[in-house]
Amino acid sequence: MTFVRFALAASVLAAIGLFGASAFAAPDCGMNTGQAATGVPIPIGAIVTASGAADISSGAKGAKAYFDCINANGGIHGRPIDYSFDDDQTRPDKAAEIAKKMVEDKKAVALIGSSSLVDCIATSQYYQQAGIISLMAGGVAPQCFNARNIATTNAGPRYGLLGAVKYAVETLHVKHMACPQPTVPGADWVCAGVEGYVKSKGVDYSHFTFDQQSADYDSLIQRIVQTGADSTIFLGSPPTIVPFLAAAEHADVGDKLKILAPSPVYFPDLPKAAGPYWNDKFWVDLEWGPTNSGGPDMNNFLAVMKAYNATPDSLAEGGYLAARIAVQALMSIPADKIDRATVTAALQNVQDFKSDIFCTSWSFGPKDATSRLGNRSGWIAIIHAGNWQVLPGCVTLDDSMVMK
Amino acid sequence: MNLLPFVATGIGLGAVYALSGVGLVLLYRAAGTLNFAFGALGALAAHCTWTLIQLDAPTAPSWIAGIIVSALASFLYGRYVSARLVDRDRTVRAICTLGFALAILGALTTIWGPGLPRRLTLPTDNMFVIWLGLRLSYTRIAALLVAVLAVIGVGVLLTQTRTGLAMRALASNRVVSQTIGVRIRATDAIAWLISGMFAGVAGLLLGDLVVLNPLTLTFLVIPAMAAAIIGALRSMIGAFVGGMLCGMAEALLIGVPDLAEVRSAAPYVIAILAMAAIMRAPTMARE
Repeated sequence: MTFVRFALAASVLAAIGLFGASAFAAPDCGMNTGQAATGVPIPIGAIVTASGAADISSGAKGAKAYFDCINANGGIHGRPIDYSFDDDQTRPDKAAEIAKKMVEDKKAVALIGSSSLVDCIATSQYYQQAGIISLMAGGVAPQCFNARNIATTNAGPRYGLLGAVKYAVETLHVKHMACPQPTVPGADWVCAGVEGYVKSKGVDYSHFTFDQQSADYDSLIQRIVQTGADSTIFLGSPPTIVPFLAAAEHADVGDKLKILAPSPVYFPDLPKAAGPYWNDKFWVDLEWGPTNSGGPDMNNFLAVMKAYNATPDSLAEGGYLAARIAVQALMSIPADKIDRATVTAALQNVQDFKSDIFCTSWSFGPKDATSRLGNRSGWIAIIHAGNWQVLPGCVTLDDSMVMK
Repeated sequence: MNLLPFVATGIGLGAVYALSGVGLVLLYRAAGTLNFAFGALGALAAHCTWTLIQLDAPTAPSWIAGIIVSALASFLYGRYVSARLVDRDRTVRAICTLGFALAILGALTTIWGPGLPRRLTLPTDNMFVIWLGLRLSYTRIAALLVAVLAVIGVGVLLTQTRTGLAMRALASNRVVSQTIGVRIRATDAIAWLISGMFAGVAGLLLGDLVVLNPLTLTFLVIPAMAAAIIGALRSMIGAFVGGMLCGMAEALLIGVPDLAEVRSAAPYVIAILAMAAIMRAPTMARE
């Protein structure tokens, strides 16, 4: 199963939405007419993993909330969006079946807001053959970032971590990085990315695989220490960050081993669970902004989720952003010209899309690229004085870091 | 690669496996039941203790309260559920404890949730001695001492007390024991109580040394089973040695390329080898 652990994290990440929502204003959605759209519906689909290894369906639910808001406010030039999604049950064959149903039966013009563990594995070639774009809320597998017709609003495990790694190299000036790789598919792709980057910067690199079924984290920390590394990435199942940090504290290596982790470990309760030992000693990359950021688009996201009964969690942010990008693309097409070809072209043309939920902006990138990453910038969060603190500024990945 | 640091980490883990194995063997010898709920009882103790500490209760009373809760839960099961199964096959009794484990696990995940693990800490976690270049925390040393004391304590119980005599009689032959006046249900209940205490102590130590999570702690009963099997489900010292062996093997294997990826299987492999050895020994194979 491709990177089940990161997806499990995504399901747990629902908690991020609890970071404290600010005051809810009226939602701002598309044409804002206050009148329901009544024209010919525009078919759009999505694939989610809602059962099996994890439930990460909140990405599509976030997209649906925004589309519902659009439909209640004039739609796309008067045409409502007919949005539906289905559960792939963490089965690639089921994902392929749903994709075929969406593309051939529903005649979807695009797939927007998918959040699935297996979608990309099963469908990346099919989407290209069908000439349809899938703009995902939560892409996890390597194929989600290495396909012509798939784009994601999230950074995913590899690129999310690379943001933290880049910060460690450029700002923390680490000299030797370890990549302990759990025995789950996809983790090798993440470590390969770390290796390529740090070696290009003259930083030493150590790598080994470990059995993440073992509850013996103390030995794992000792194994990392023996590589001689002054920094390590954490790639285990996100909830296991607590025993991982505890083991590092038992060994008292917090001052000599910098620990870097991807977004899924950004649990609201982690600072308390980790304890005061980890103040200013632990760095996490954030692919989307925290929901208490107070930015105008973040506040609109919260208002839309509230108005349309969706949980404002982290993946819902990704779904909301995918839907917003899709609506911008759809609005650029005359109502009677909206079909799969025009929507594909419009989505391919989205460049430098701004939202304060992204640290900088989102771009589809070159339409013929075989590797793509729309969301290249993130924040770095640390535990400070017993709470999360998001550091100012963005960490942006270079073109050279976005490759197979 | 220097394997010595993994000896230090293996001591803590092995000691808790050993303690759990001894608790399992005690119950099996006295009540004839292989308790799959051992880990869940430990998880119950650890979570109750964590909650008390969050409510600003002092550490020592909180730990004692957690042990009392697991002992009580174990006693109640032994007195009111297991007692009704005394005439059933051992397999049935073991399967029933699996139901007990799932019931506790369900309650734990309902009350404490399946999300982010919590941390249970002791002041001794960051107090340590350096021995042969190894950093041994007082908590690990305490875990080892508790495991050794458990073996000695159970040995004294079995050989020096009337309750122990009754337990040994039951282990030998339940029907004959009943005929000569051994109070089977009372003796069983005491065994469940003591085993529940062991589960509580092991759960608290695992919550501190490993992770405080309902699911993880519940299923850490499996390595403990391996320890008990190495003791042929009868020998306390065998279970102790088995537990230490399992913990050490799991820790040391992280330093062995290729095997590091499957080190969590070490207790099972050791248990299988032990079973094979036991089956070849006719006098031990009766059980």
